Amino acid sequence: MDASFPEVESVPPSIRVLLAALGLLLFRWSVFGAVSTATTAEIAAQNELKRLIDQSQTALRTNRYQEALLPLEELTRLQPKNHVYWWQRAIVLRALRRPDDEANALEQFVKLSPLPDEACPRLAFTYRELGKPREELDAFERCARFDPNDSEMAFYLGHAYEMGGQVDRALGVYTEALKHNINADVEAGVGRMLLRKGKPTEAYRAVTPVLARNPNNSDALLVAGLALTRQGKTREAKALLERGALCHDGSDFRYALGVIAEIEGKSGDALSHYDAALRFDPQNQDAKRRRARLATSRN
Amino acid sequence: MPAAIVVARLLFIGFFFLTSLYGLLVYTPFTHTHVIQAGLLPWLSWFAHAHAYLYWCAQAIACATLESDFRSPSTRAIASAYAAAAALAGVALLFHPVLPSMQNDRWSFAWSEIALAPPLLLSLVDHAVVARRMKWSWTSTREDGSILAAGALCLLVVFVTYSATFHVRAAPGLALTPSEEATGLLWSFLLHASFVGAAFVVWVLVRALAAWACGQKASVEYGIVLLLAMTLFLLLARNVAFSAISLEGTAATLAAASWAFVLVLAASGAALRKAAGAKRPVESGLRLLFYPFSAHFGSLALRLLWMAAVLAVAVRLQIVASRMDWNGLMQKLFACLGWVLVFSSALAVFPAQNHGGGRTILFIGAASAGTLAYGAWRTMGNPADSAPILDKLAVAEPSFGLLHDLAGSGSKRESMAELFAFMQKNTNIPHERHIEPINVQFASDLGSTPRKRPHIFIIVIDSLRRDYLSPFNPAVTFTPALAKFARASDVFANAFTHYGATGLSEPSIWLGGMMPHQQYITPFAPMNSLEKMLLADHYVRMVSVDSILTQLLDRSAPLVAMDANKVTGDYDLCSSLEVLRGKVDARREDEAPLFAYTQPQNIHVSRITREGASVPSGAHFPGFYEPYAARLQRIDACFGQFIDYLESKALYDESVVVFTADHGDLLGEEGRWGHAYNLNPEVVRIPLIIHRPARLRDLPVDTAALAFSTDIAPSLYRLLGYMPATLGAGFGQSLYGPRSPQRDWHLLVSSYGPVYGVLEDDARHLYVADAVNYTDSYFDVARGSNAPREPVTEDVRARNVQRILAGVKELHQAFHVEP
Repeated sequence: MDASFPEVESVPPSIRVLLAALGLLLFRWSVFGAVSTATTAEIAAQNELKRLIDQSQTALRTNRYQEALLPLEELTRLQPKNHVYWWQRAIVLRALRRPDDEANALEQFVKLSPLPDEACPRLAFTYRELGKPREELDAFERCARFDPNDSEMAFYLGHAYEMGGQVDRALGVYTEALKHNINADVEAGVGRMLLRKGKPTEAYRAVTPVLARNPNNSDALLVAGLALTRQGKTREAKALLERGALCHDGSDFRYALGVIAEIEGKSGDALSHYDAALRFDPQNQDAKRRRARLATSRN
Repeated sequence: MPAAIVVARLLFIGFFFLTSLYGLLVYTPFTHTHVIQAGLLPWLSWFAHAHAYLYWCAQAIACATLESDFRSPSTRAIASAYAAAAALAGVALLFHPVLPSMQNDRWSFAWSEIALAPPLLLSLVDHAVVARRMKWSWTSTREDGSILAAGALCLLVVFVTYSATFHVRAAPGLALTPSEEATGLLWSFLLHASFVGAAFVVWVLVRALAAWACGQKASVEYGIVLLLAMTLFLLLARNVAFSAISLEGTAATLAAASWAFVLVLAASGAALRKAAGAKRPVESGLRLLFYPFSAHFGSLALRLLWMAAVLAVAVRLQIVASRMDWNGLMQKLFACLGWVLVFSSALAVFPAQNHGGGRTILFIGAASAGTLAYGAWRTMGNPADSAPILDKLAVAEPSFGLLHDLAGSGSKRESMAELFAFMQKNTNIPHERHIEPINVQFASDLGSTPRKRPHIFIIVIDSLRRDYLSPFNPAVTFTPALAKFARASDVFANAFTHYGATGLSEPSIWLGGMMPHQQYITPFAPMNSLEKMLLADHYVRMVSVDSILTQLLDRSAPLVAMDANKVTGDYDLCSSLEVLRGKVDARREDEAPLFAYTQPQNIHVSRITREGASVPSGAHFPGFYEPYAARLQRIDACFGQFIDYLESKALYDESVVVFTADHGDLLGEEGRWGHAYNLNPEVVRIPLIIHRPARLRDLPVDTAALAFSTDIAPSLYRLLGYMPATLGAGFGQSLYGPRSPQRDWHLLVSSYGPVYGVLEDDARHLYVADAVNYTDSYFDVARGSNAPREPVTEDVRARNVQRILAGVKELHQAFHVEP
């Protein structure tokens, strides 16, 4: 080996190692460094979405609903499968009192959201507001299917059947719901349906546990009062109905008390109860009819 | 060292590395079945049989290169010892040839390692002989300029050559606009420049470390260069070459390490021999190692001509390999070889000169310019815009393809590491992990069919694409017989295979379902539902017993083997049907019904390549791959004649005829060919046409519904009058009669490697996770691979990754495979 050392490099080995290491770091960054995986078109679309979201949120924060609606409409057009935008659009449409469009937005939300029950029972009530009972009932049925254990949804569905005169279906829904949960509204519903099926004893038995838990539950008091009236137990019935009226005075209680007053021969009291019932609900046909009959007989 | 000796050494090393590779091919279960047993490469079978004699030729060549050592008294002993050892081993081989008797067990791996002993011993002889004569000098940075210049020339020449080849051969078929092609090539250039720059920087680092630690001794630098070369080769062999043949785990690492060690040492031995004879002492470790590969002769013009010739050979090899490659492996390896040879030649063009040194900062800056430009473009541009172009370029241009794989797979390898590791662990399960066969039972009352048993003919054309058949594609005019056959048959428009490639697809047809990824669970008989039915109903079985069915069928029962005198790769539908006609003619009226199964290889990519992709003169198939279409036209004619024959014998209306494929193929889509690790729509969609006798047409069928080749076995059960049970996900269901509701996704798998797919959305979309290339893709099935791929959103990926995990676990549960 030559004894001489022909090095002509002015940079010492340690600096060369450092420089080479820097070069390799540059290579690592350049070739393996993380970069955006979005295309130009995707980035532009993302920016547009961001702009629209900002615009709608700013308008919503200051309750400028009309202003928020335009970007939300655009968002739902660009991202028709994003349930969040449909939900916000529904909120804005409610504020703008456009129930028809609100129902459409909620329908989209129900289709797309992983938690569609969040639109319940609002969707059904929107249809009720629109005077579409068939759609309302359909919405309640769907809501009940989302979570069969939800007694509140079962109550709404049962109540919708009740309003439509479908006593057996309503009773079925209420009874099924009670297998999963105890719910005073549902128990009262069972009582009401049994009353309508002409079974006052069973109806009274259905609401007794409710009154045991909450003696002032007005729905249960009404059912119990009516049931006892039909069994001829007017004194006990009157006590329950009066307690109910004290808690939650209304057309039904006054009408029921009027009926008892008639049975007791107290036509004056009956008249005043019917008058009160009609003040609460001028459309209470039963109260109207009885009052008219009573007034005629007194004259 | 004269060129003749270099060539002789290359032949010697090539022989023993091929021997070692043969051992690995036998050791790996799937290559054992599909390459060795199937006779996929006839020359390899010849090599194995002639090995004991070729060994003598190889050793004679090696001993000839030691001629000077035999003459010199100081080295005669060691050279003689080598020759004696070589002769002893040769005699042993003559009495006990190893290769032809190798079995798929650990011994084959051991032999693959032992095969490396001769080149290792010869390189040790080389090192021992020259050790005392070597003259080492000091290294110096004054050489860096010429190394950088050689790297730049190599970059330019390789890039231009491969890009030009791509432009001429592949670009027209990829539907790239000129601006897209230019963009792709610019990315390619910068990526090539980044890697060349990085290689130079590594070289500077090696040299500086050597100088720092040991004071610039050339011998130390040479040692570090050897270690670096071994490491690079190990990584290349382990992660590119061996993973492509599904050799994984410790065995792969060990084999790669042995190969790297022996190959680099052999090159070193040859290099040192040359250096020992030189007057000047060695100043550069890098030049010394590359010396055997470079051309140090004649004028500059001659050296450049040599470089051009080297490149021409590399490109020619790439072109030859492109039509029958294994996941692009050979093309990539040829590209690597091209880089090494071109760089060696470039070193000869720029001999070491005293450039004055002191320019390290300048050189590192120059070498990193391309890297910086590439990084800047990646960061500031939107590389995703170019991703579809680069994917196409990577498939069709192997030099870029290899670098693109190296650069691009990193992030996926990390982010999907858990899935990829799971897939690798549960693919090609080694035989050491014993899986007990389960009893696959579609019917418990076999042998009691009340119906008259029809004859059954199953024709499975290997690699047949549905869109090359007129019943599935009205643009096809060259399959009139199949069109006629389809008119009176059930044409399943939405049929798929669960398995890409034959390895597991063919067994799944017999089993009637999917199975754990092992080739194969044996004994297969308890799982072979189709064979059970045939045996119970006393069918006369006539089967082309290919290399797979050899391992699956019950040979203790009577079986007529068709094509018995052929290797699988030579199976030809026309001759098989001719044989079948002979058997039918010889059959007596009162004999049991016939069952025939054949899987001809006429249009397999390896067969077409072997036949030189020839097309009969005057035949044209515009819009189709002509060598494939031409062979299909011939198949169609033979099939039509066979159906006519059955009709003439009044057997057609007494027969169930199934015409299908084990899988499809890629014929140049995205520049890809074949089906090894591809689960593209063209590979997993199959044609499926079933003719049933008029008396069996009362069973309802929905030909538009999703069907799998695994449904064929239970469908035959149903046509014979059984009521096949629903065995669960992964198992087939009868296509006839009412079907149980299926879930809305289906697992697909490559037969040969860890590539898994999920067919979803009523088979409209296909998600593929590929742990060979560390990528994932999402296809619109109907639009196929030529359409731009669908984006793999996080939703798509998350959903389907879970399905792959669940699907494999579910399958393993059904087969009682331990997790």
